[in-house]
Amino acid sequence: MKRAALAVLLLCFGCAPVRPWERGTLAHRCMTPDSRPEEARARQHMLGARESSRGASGESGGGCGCR
Amino acid sequence: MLALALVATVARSASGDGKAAAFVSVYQDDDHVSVISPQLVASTEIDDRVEVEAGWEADIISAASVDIVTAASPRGFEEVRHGLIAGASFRPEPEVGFGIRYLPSWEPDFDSHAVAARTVHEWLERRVEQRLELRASFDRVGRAGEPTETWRKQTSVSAAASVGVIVDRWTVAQLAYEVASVDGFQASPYRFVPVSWEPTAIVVRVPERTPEHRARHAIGPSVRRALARDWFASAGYRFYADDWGIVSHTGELELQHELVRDRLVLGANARVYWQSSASFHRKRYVTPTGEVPRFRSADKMLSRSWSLLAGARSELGFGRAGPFEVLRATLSLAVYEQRFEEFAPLEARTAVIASLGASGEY
Repeated sequence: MKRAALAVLLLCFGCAPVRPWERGTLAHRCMTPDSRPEEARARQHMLGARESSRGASGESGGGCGCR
Repeated sequence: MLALALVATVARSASGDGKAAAFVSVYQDDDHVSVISPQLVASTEIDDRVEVEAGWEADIISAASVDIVTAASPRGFEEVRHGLIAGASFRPEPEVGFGIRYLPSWEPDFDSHAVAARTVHEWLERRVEQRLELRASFDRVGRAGEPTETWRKQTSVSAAASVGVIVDRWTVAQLAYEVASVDGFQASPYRFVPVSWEPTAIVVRVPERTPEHRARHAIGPSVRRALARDWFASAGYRFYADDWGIVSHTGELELQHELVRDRLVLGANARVYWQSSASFHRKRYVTPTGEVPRFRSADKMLSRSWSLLAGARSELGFGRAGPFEVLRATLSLAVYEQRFEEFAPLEARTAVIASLGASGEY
């Protein structure tokens, strides 16, 4: 955990600052993970009902049926 | 498309800019399980800082899986789960946001009421984004047709935190961690577990029983990178462990190519998953003394297993159409193969998952 936190800090402060006008590529839909929320929710729900590591990724509900 | 237009019209009548989406996913496997999952979601801005969202989702399930047929009912079952989404978000400053969500869902043998609160904070000239989400879910599990007063309770609380960092002009990296604690009835009220008494030929079938507490942890780094102006890749890894003894590893890759600017994106993705068994899970329960094991399960999800998922998707952009300033449609197809290494009734299943979606901004 400490190593992970250190890696994040190094990423935050160790990289050359990217100015707002240099972020055109980063704003592309293919670079924004939130751009497809319905797909992500359906996929998480499907996998969460079939694999035991569900529950730690925010999917909703579901009893025994959809397994 | 009609549903999308209806949702957009209703949402647009509220006031300003917003989004509306209709999505349907169809799952069909060779173990006689099919699930159709539609979603309708709309959000609209009340003013520059406040946005509300509402939605509906469902699972229309038809299942005659080998373990369901042998353990629960002779012909399998059909049922429908309905879920609602209601949320609001508030962004007092461009770098700070708060949101709340209420997610109830109902099906004949399970109901759930989940609430979630989240914050988003961007730092260092918006190069670093930190998210925190707290969630609680109050669920009840029972047998379909039995009075809900007899249903058993299950409560889960979770906290998820993530930090996303702009690494350079082409790369974003993220680290996410989630911890969840689940308490209450976590077995299936339908499942009975065969236990063999070794010196004899006697097999008794006893109700499934699992521990009533479970603590889950998941951590995963991921990275997205623009390989060229119109090529994009992402990769992620997730490590999961819980106190039932399950450990899992998940790796995911996605490659997308924008074939026509703002009009057509093609993508391919792959996912590999492996998990160990729960400590009390056995392929067969055998007792030399006749004593039934305290915890026993016939749940294939608690068995050692692995899965592969490979898919392709396309996204079409139509520009301005009807009430929408931007309209997009997505079509995807995936194949999912899952193998159970310690589950006697079923060794493997293969599924095809197709989805179709349309979303618009107005």
